[in-house]
Amino acid sequence: MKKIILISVIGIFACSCKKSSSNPSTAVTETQVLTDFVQKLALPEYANLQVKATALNNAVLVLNASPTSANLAAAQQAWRDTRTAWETCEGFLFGPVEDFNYDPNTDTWPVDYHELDSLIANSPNLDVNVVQNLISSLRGYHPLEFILWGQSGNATVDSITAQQKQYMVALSQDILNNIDSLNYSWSATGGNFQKQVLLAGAGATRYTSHQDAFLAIVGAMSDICNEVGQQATGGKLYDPYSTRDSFQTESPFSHNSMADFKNNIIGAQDAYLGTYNGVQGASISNLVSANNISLDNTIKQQFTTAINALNNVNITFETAIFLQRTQLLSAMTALNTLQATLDGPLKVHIQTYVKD
Amino acid sequence: MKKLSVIICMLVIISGAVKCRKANTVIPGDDANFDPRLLGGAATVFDISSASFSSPIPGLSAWNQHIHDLGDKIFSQAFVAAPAPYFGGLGPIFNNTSCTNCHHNDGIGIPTFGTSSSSLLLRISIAGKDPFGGPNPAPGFGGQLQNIALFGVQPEAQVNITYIENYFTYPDGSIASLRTPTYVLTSPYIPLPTGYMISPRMAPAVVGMGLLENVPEATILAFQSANAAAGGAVKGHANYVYNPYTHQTELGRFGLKANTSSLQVQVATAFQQDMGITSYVQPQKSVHGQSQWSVVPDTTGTDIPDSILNAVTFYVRTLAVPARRNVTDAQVMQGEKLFTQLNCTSCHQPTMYTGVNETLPTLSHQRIHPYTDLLVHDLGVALADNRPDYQANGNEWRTTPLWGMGLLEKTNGTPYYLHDGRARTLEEAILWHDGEAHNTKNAFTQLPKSDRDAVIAFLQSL
Repeated sequence: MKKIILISVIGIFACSCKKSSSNPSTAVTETQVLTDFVQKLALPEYANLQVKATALNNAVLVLNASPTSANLAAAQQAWRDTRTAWETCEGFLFGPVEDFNYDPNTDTWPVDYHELDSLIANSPNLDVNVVQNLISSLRGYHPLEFILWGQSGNATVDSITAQQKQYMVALSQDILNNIDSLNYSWSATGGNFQKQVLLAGAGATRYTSHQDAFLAIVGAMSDICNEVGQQATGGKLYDPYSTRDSFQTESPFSHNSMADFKNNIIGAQDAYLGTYNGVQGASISNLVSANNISLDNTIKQQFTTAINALNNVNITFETAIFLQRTQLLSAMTALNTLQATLDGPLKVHIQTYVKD
Repeated sequence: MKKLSVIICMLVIISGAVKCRKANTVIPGDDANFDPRLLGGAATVFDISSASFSSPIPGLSAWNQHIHDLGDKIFSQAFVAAPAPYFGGLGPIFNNTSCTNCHHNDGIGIPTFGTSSSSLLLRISIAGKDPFGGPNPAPGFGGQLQNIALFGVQPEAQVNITYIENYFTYPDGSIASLRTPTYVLTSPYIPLPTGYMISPRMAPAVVGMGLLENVPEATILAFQSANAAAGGAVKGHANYVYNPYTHQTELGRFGLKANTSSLQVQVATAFQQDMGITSYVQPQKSVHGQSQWSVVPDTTGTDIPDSILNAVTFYVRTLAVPARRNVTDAQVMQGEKLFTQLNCTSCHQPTMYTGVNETLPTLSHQRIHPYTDLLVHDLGVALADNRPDYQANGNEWRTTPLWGMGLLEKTNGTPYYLHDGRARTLEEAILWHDGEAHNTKNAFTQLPKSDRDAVIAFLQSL
């Protein structure tokens, strides 16, 4: 009797395996997924970031030359657009962006208010050469945000001083320089980091197997969910939430924090689904569904749930920590669940099935 | 009957005791009974990503995990100038603004000065000793040069590095290029004292530190005795250093010259000297007593609360060691054999046991493979800093643990090796060895290329 049960169980397993792996819509190769990750996702996303950072730099130059309310609003919008592109790229934060400190050089938190005041008061010739040698808390998006919106979020063209304008021009140029270098480090004619992913397991020194490269991508996806949503010791949502303190929020002057968080998770979702800007490539999702449709569905569902939960916060983060605590808690819970799936079952799946 | 059970009980206890003793003794050739991938014993994790140095040791309780995660967050947090709502206290003179900027992904860093990714600093001193037998601080500069400053304060000095490339030719005609750094101090805020000595230090990886802290002193001293008894070229010895918190002289294990005895002091001194941040263990600003002290006087109380220093120390203590890879690869196995035959293992001790740690069982009684003896050795004049640090003379450096070496490209992008990052490959690092390692290095250069590659392949598997 036991034997019969055993055999029938094996039979069921064998059947179910065959069924899912013969699904024609999910037949992708590992090489295809890595190639599309580079060509349809990473390279276009970094290229878009460069476009947005260039537009930001131009908008800041226009504002400097012609300080009108319309130009201030345009610069603020260009800043938001650059943040959207950057935070989306953070969904797969590995490779040159971490090797060469592009992240701390452009996105250090918190703003060093005290040093920033001293810098502006004491540096008559604030240009990009000065700014690129400053400590990271005086460079990047957040000091620029501080100037474009002001500490209380109510800057006007008249309230931005001449010194602040100089600093603003240097900051946006410094951001652009960093993004240029980051983009160049992936480019085939530059640092050619793309080769490390494209040739994973076929001569790349960084990723000596396909599995190695997939674990880097999945690890980065998991890390960003952790950074935003972790409750145990405080991700970007939890600290301001638990202390009810808006001094701890990510983009406090522009009130852009909720968008920052959402774009982080959308970036990770894109990396999983192999899609960016309407272009669909072979994806990790395809690879997973070939062997485990249920896991693939779970991950897709958990991404949707997390992004919806973030969308349910419909006021600024600085206000939501007082007024929409239930929604924030739901978002953190959804992110924790997603992160646990990425870090657990998805990693195990990659280790089990990606062998070459 | 009672008697019998008492006897049985005693026998069990005795056999238990015997077993315990046995388990703590390294038996040569016994490796076959153990999984060679477990470099850190139970404190090993299987991770080959850029975060491979960043995992907590397995088996932490929920509360300990909480403290580890809190320490993790602070380790990567940028500090800012006071007054600030959060993370204030930076400077006024410092080398970098966060732990992670130097210890990139808990690994090493980049051998430059003054940028956010720079991981080099210079120690400085003059002839003589301080009251505790340590380096004699340079008047006005202290024991470490801070090359960045807040506004209104001048950096102690700027540092320029230049490299000279020299070619090394193997007996078989292959060539390697070795670069020798020179450091020039410019724009000192006051004149530098005559006869000052400097020592470059690149931030080391912080992996497996809790295990090294838990290696019994007797084990380290046994390595020293074995060196003495052998009477050969290898004469490594322990460094004994002052602990500013316990006010005792203790055996040094951390730092590139083994000049620090505990992780608590290591972390607190890094906060103080590298970032200017005070704590209950190092309560004075690094600028304390200098002429610029009046610009930014010591803060009332300390910059970080006791619990934060403790959490960061705990984080460093509870970082796991990544497992070895490719241990059954023929080339790697050949390299491992050569590593022993060349006598690299006389300093890079492969196997030892940790002592008892009741609160962290994962660190307790573990068979570990750090490839260090935690002793300081003379590595020759080419690597010398010519600056004594307690009992380590100007030629001596602590044997660097080799676990995790093969993952530095992952954690760091471009890996750099040795105390000042001069070596760009593991091969260069080997070729720089001299002094007590002279014969071993020479034997390595005599090997055919395929065997040299095997040694490198072995190191890459760590």
